[in-house]
Amino acid sequence: MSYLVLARKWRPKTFDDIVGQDYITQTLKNAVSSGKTAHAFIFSGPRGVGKTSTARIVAKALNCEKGPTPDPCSECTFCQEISEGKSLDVIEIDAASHTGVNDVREIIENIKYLPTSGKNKIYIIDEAHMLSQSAFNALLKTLEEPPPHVLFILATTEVHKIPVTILSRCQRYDFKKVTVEEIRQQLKKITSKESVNIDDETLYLISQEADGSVRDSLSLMDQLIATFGSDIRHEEATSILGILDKALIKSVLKSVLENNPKSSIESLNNAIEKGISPRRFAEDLLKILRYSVLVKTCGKSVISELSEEEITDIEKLTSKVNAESLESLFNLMLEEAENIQKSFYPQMALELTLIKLSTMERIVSIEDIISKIESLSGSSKPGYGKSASMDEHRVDYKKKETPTDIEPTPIEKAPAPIEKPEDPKPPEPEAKESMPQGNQKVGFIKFIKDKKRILGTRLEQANEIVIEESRIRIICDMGSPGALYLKRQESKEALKNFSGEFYSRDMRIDIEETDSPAKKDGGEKMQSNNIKEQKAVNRKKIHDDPIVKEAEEIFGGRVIDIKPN
Amino acid sequence: MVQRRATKNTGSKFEDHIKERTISPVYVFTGDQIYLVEKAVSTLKEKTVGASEDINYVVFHGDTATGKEIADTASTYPMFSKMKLVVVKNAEKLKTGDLEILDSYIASPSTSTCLALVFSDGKKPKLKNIKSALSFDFSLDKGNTLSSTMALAGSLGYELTRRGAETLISLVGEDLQDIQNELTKLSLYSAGKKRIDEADIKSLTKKSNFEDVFSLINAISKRNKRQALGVLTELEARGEEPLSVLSRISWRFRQIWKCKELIDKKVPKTEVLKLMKMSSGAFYYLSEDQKKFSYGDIVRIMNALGECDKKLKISYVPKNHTLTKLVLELCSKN
Repeated sequence: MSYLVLARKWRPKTFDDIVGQDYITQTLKNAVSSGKTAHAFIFSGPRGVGKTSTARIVAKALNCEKGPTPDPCSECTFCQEISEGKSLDVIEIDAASHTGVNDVREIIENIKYLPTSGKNKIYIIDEAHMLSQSAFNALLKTLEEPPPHVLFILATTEVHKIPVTILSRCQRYDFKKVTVEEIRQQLKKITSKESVNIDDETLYLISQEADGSVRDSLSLMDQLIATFGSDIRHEEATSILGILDKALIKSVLKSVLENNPKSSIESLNNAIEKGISPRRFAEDLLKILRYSVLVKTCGKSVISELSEEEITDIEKLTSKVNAESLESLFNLMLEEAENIQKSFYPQMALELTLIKLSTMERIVSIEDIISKIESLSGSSKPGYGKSASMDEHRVDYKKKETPTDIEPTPIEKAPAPIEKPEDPKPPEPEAKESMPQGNQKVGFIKFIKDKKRILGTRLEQANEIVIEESRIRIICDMGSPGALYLKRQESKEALKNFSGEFYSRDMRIDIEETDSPAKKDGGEKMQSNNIKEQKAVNRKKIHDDPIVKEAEEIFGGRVIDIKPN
Repeated sequence: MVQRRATKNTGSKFEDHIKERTISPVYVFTGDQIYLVEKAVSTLKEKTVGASEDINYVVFHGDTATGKEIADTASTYPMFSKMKLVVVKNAEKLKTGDLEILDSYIASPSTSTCLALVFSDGKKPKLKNIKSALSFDFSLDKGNTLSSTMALAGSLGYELTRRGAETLISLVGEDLQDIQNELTKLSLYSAGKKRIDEADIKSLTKKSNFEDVFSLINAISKRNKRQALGVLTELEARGEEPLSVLSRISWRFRQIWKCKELIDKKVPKTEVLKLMKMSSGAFYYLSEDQKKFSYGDIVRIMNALGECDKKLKISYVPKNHTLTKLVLELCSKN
């Protein structure tokens, strides 16, 4: 006899064997034992969750020699015939290949005949959504008033394709995806009975890979058993199944969040060496970024497919990054994953994506900036403030470039920039005179953001915004995405309209590009007497920063110089 | 004799009629509550030919039967019985010529036959002699769904609290057939339990296809990413197809858009209800929803939906990720 695959060997035989559908099996058991079985059922749900198995068990429960019973014996002739698909009274129809009205007419013709040996005649229509409209119409008439000895069970993965007229004639049961933990338990049970040595972590990976389908998980297990026999090791399992080790993908995420392209590329190379395809790597990275967004935005309760431990890991990894930044990383990865899938050189495309992700500037929400300003303006001491998170650092680094964007009176109230250029250019008198208060500029950016988010974001990314009497100068890095976007005619027009609305006067929009990030604001706005003093304070702040200290400790180095980012 | 009364009774009066009066030779059943219509047909069957299968009980379907066939069957005498019951389902699908033949029959029906014509399209039947028949409308007043649900639960032997009934209706809608199906399931699940709690209802009851979409749209209108993503992941966990979810979101936003345009053009409410083909209850929620979105929002949202639709159909990346992006985008302020 040829080898029987696990999915067939371990196909549930009783209601209690069905995994993860307790409400449904309990109801069906009660229906059978109370003799109140409906004349038509519809079992819907994703693949591999037990729809067809449940249908067969219902058939056995009703036709079992000892039945109708909620616990069919699986030993009598009827039960065995049903299990083997040989029963004359249990007719399984694959609607995917019998879609036409004539197939349904054949059923209708035959239902008037009593069952040959069993108590009931049961029609299991698999993939019922594939039936044609006329086939459904023909079936409807029978479903309305079927003979008492007939039971219909429709199984489908796409219940929305079933006409409502049919749905309302059937007792509907929606099968859910089986949770990772339930699949793992089931796999553990089966592997122990099959004397297969496999560790929990691998079982967990397989359960996750199965995406809620018990059948898929057993197929994966079959694959492993066929390759490694009864002793399966974690590394071998991940390599043969092409599953990316979770630790590896987490380390990539860590590198990306720490803006460390080198480390992320190293992790990628590591994965490629282990035989993971770049496309698979991209998919998994996208998946973990999505989980990160979900965990950050909704908390841990919404993700059922991850273990508590994994969620905690994600929480730790993303603790220093805000939701907006994670969202933008996710969006970028989603776009790039598409390109990677299509690319002839997926590895190259993935490397480029990892670099983009790792060097992507984090988004700082207006609310964060405002709250930061508020907290800083409450402090009498100028300085860098608390460095509570990685993002906060980024806020401040960004801020140093355009302090006037957010600080009404930089010299007196706000923390001084971390550093300033060695030779600050003298400020342009016109600009200095006509420049509005910083909070007014923040208000302007917020106003633009409210009108058109992308435009506001690009504006935020600019190196400098100089608002004069009748014009707004926006200074960006040469060839940067922000500059390219803002230089577009429609962007300029939108800016002109919005600024006119905001300042109640016509404003000219000039987009200027510089070779390097603008480095002049801090110094320009400081009075020369304060510069040195301020610089010293800032240097001290940087030196005292816990992250800098930690970096010194890790790398065994010391800070020699502080330069703008 | 034919009762010559121009009657349009509600379904609830049918039970009284059947208890108090003799069986009428012709009944016309209309209304959208299949459950009540079928119950009425079943009662008629019991009264005329008995509950079991009988050669004197004949069912025709409007899309396949002819008027002549029906009239001939109704005109023949019953076999070994005093009465014969002929039921025509989906009678609205009969051709005009066939309806004319039935009209002639209704004018002078057989006294030993009870003919029940069931019209399921919600329109007024096109029968000239309809006044000669006894008509019952089996539509349910919106306010009655709650009490009907509780009564149905009672008939199955358990108590369903008002809150439980409200939850059930919110999940499955107002169709009594659907409600009956769910109540039967609940009674089976909680065998022996005298009272069903909300948790049981939520676990076992299929969710209305649109219930989640309303929650999702509500979350989007509040820019509540947490709630919106929560609904989305719940749909995903249930194995809902992303394209199907998208189509439902699009359907709702199209409704919101239409409603907004009509309200802004000051179209009278009655006209709006007619154009939108909806009840005033459903319109209330729609009119509240449309207030939450500006035209700018709607245009932006429709563009995003179109883009997402395209991506779901051609993209290589898992569809749930694309849908997640859509929800994040719709929840963003601009």
